[in-house]
Amino acid sequence: MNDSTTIADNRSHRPGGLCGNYVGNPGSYDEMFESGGALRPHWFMFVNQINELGAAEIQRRWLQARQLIHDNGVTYNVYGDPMGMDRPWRLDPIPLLLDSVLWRQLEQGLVQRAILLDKIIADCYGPQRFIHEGLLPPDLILTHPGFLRPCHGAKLPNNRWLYQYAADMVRAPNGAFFVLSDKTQTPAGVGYALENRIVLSRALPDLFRDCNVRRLAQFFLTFRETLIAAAPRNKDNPRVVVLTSGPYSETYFEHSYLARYLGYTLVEGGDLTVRDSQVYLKTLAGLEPVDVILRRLDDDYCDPLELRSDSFLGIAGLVQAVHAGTVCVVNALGSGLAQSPAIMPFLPALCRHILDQDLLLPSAPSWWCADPASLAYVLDHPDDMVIKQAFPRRSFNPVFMRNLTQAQKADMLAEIRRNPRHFVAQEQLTPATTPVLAEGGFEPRHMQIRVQIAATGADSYAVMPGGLARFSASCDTLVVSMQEGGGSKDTWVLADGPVDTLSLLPPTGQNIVINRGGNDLSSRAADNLFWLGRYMERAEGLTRITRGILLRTANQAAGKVSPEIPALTAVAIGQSHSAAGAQVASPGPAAPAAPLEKSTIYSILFDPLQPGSLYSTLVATQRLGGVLRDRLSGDSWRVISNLEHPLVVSPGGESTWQLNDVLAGLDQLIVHFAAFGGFASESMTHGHAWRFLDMGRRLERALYTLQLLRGVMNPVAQEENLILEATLEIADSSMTYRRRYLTNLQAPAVLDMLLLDEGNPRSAAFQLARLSEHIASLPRSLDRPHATPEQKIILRALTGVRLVDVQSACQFQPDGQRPELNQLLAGIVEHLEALSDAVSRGYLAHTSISYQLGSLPAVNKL
Amino acid sequence: MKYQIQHITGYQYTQSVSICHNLAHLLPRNYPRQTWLSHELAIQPAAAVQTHRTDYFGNSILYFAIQQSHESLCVKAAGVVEIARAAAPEHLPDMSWRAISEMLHQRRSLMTDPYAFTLPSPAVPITPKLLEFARDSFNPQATLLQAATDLMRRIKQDFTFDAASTTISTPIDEVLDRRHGVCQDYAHLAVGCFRCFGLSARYVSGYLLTLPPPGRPKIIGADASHAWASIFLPGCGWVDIDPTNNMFVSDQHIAIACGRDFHDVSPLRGVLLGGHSHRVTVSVDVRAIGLPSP
Repeated sequence: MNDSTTIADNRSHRPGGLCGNYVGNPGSYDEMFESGGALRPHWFMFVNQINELGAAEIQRRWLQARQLIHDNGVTYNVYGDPMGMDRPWRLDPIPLLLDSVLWRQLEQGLVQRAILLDKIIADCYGPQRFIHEGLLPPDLILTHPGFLRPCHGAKLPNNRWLYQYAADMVRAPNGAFFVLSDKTQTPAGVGYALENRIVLSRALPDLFRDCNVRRLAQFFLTFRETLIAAAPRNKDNPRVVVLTSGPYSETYFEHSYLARYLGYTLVEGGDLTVRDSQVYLKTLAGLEPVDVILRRLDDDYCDPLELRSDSFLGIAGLVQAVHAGTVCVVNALGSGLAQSPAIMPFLPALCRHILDQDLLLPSAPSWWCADPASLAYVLDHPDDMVIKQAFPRRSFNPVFMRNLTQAQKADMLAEIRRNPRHFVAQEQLTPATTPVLAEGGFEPRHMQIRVQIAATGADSYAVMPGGLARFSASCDTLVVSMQEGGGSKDTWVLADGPVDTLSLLPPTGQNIVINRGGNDLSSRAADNLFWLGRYMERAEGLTRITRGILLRTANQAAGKVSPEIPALTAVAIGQSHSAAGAQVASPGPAAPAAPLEKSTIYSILFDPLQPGSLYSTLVATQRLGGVLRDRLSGDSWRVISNLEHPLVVSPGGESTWQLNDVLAGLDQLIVHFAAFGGFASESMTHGHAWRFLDMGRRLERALYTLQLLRGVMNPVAQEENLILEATLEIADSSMTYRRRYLTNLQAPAVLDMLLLDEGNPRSAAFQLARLSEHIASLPRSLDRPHATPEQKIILRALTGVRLVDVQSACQFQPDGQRPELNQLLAGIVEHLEALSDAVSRGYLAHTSISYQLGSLPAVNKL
Repeated sequence: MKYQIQHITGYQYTQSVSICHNLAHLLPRNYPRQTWLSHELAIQPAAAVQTHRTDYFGNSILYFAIQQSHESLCVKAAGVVEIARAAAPEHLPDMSWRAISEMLHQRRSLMTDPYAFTLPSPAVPITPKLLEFARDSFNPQATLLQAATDLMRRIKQDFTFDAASTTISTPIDEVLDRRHGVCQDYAHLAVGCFRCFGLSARYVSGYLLTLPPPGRPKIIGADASHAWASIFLPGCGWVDIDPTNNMFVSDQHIAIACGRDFHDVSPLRGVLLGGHSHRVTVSVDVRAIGLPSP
């Protein structure tokens, strides 16, 4: 392709293709087209190439990309969402392109703004000169609920409070950018921006390369170095943790993503503890000191002792640790203060005073209503305004006055008059439009962009060359919100020439300290892994037994009920009608041979209201997988995130499913389970995390096998060979059995194979032997005796199994009962349940509730 | 006057506590009229960490942590303090409250310290109910001390002192509805009334002489920690008033800490792991040194 002619063409003609008859909104700046209709030069390359690809090819690639988003589990939790948690993230295939000249201006403005906000925060928590000098109204800071007095006077390295900052910006009709809000609390968006980049660069690799898009990795490398330098001690190898408020947080995906991307441990408040004014991570191996906390939890929730006493998410004593200088919290506790839009009107004067410069990147014109003149202006021009809370709380979305009815408007204004200091009015700017890909080609949407800034060196900041662009649900609304149906875009900052690629791995040639640690498994993560293993295995067991039943149902002669089906069904019901973790109900006596009801299978497989149904178990598995996102490889996660797919054959109702569809789905599931098992044993480091996952699986598989044996062997069935055959099949051991015994089906041989044979990976003894190994390898604190309770229990269980005499155990009484076998199996089940409890107590009991020691009121006597 | 003070707080837990973090406003602070001659603090069982810092309001706070398993906690603060008698209100350079309010507002940037105490705080929000109650005492012509005198008289007259009636978290509007309270509620109420009119008022926690010297009336608030209010009078500083006892503070009140409201200065709080539930006992003993004991 000859570039020079293409450019000439673009100048004189509309590019056509996907651009078609695209026109921006009159009255808005358009990112792609000039007002005269010509394509902006920095889009030439992109538009040419995308038109060459054509709409059909883009759609095809985009379907793949959406699968990738689903597989990667990118979600945005919306509180109180009736659709449930974890809404998928919407991404548009057309990136926002910004040229290098514009970007340099934005960069300068954002760095200046970050420096300014950092100095304002530092001053509020220090000498408060800006208040005394009249640059900031005292009321603004002193009545700000985010002004955390216990943090006042903290001595921080380089007196730096702000490490991470993000600005939401829009481009006004005149082409200039304005800041709508400053995020200084826990600036979200960086994980989503990264994920958008990964998806888009995979979907459009040639465009991405040819457009000279600036890479993001350098930004994170810089940030990681900054965090290392910020560590007050252990500077060579500081422990950095990402503190999350937990899986119910709006942006949990991002918390775990960031932790994985940067290589830090993801923790909740309960995983940390303060001892000797120093923060520690509670790991299985004991307490490990923490040097830097990258918090994604709002600062007022971070310490129930000195900050919000009703917080269950924080770490008691953290403020003390900060004052003692043993830990660096990023952003510093108290930084959320600067997020108030009420500060915006004062920034120009503060900037001149502090930095002796004009504010380069203006805020959207804003008025804090506490000031009488500002209030009067706002009340005079209500339709121009967007109303925001002066002291942001979670549950308040900006109010666009122009979109309100007369009555609503009057209410809002009355509310402002009543409580003027709680409100900030911001002039409603008409955001620029940018094309999104719709059915027939490009369509304009209004957009805003969030750009991330991170501290670097002792006193400067670096801007991530990219950002999270978000767009409105339609071009008729100026409201840009993911929650109201908008979407997001990747932002491509174009370099002047080819760009260097860079990875987060350290450069070769640099000596690295060899480390086999990763010894940072928190008790909570271990607990979750243990349960992930249990749920996964439970789902597999249920899948295998149901498949066995359905296969037999499909093959049985018309009108005749195969005698083994009722007994197997009773086992499956016993499994599925008790939630995992609860003691599994012993299979009841086999029901008389009756045709298998569709509703029974429904309740075992699909019923979402049945806590132990296969569907519920898979959902629980996925939820745990989501919580453990930072510990699972991308491949393992893909398996988990697709787990429920094979079950979607039944859209609901008790009898709509078709036997062959269900069987195909169950076959597929078995492959998923095997894949997960393979990734776990082949790709996970065989450390503590793997051990807990595997312990969960082994324990559950042993329990399942024991229940199965109890259900099918006691009492002796009429045609025992049929049920023994089915059992071997369900336990995936028919081939081995046939090789050993040909077709001679005998109870003692089956019992030997499924209970005692330590070489058969499906036997109970095999599971017990593995459990015994795991338990022996668990870290043991020095104050615990040599043989731990769990060691004693597993020894007893394993010895019990090894001593079984299969011939004698299979003896039955005239009524068909096998009391010896029954007692034996029940005994092992009991041991295993005790083992689960002992492991929980010894390693996983981390959730001791902390509570407040209330002061007595000043009670007096008369 | 010289006083010997002993303040013991004991907690008994129903289950053992593995770790506790505590914050105490029990360390003495000197004020213009108040000097501590000696002070000691004893914690049982021994604290692994015990460190002091000065809080935002200039109070001395103690952070301590007990990191060994324990079933009870006892904190004993004791000391000797010397207090000079405050000037009687009639000798103070009184001013119109409106003039003070205007001045505080105009010079809010420079006089941040008193100005900060004109603003609402978590336990003392400015509510319409509070304003309605306060209004009667703030006659536009009144001086600050006249307003204070009238306000204390009305609180004493309208409210019933009732140790059982509130907990530390009773909202001020509820106190106004029920007209019952303890000294903490009285202090919050008074503080709030001044703030309604742009006047600086802070909350003071401390102690009161257990036995009045002979010939002086018996007063409320002895044998426990006490709370009162302090208002800002330009040219004079902070003037302490005790709405519970309807009196200007003289030399029987020993201040420990001051803040915007109770939450800034609660004597002892903590977060603990384990413990399940607890029983607390508090005893305060204040004796005048050099006076005959009964």
